[in-house]
Amino acid sequence: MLLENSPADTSNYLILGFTILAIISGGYCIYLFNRFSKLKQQVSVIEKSNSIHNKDT
Amino acid sequence: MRLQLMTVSSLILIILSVYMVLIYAPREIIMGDVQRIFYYHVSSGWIAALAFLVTLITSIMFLSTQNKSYDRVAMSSAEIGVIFTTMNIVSGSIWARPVWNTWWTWDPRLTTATIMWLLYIAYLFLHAGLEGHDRRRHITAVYGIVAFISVPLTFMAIRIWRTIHPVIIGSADPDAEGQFDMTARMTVTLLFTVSTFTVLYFTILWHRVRIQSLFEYMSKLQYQMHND
Repeated sequence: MLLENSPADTSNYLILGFTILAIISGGYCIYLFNRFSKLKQQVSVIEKSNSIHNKDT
Repeated sequence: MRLQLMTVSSLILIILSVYMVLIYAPREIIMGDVQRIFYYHVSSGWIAALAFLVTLITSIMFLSTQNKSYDRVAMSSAEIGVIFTTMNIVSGSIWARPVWNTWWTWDPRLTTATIMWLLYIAYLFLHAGLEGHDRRRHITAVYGIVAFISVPLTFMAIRIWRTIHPVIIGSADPDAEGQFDMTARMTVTLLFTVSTFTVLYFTILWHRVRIQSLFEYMSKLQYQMHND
């Protein structure tokens, strides 16, 4: 029987929940950051090659 | 500058919300510590609904104005909505294990939430996979409007059908398991986490739209390069 001041010990589920939520949200933030950095890099490469191409013509 | 400010504010609010959930909010008498997941479970569910509502509104605005920026917002918001729905489903499943004694059950709320999640994953696949920019934008806008039916259906599922899912705000089914009465501190914590997640949603949306704009700009540059 559960007494008023002795709730069930479910802290391990809380830790599991927090860990998984942190992995999902953190993973998504890392994905966004990496995607932005890669795109920025790709855009600068294309812009450079475009300006060289324009000078040649 | 404004985006940086919003990012920093979101981080501070998240740290404060962790403090409120773990320390400020009292431990629930019967369920114990696992009940604290509830604050993030409800907040992520709220953000998922808000994100899909933004997708609905911007899809309608895209179809009526043909302005591409609405399509960018619609797609970005749907992606964020899928992430938050994942968090909502996973956190609910972890809470259910000690309270319902199972990780998963095909309860009306869980079933409708899963259907909603799958519908918006399909939306993202459509947006990424369809050929032809204009055709893709139009088809996904119509799909974004139709898919929204799943959002009020998910919200109302615990109020329409017989369910074991608790209803914290409003009257619950007598069969609901894990029902509890919120104290004042619990209500404050819930309102704080919901507000924090709302700020976080708009911050992520801003970042995501910026990435999408950069992606479209890069595609345009590549197209120009190949045609010169």
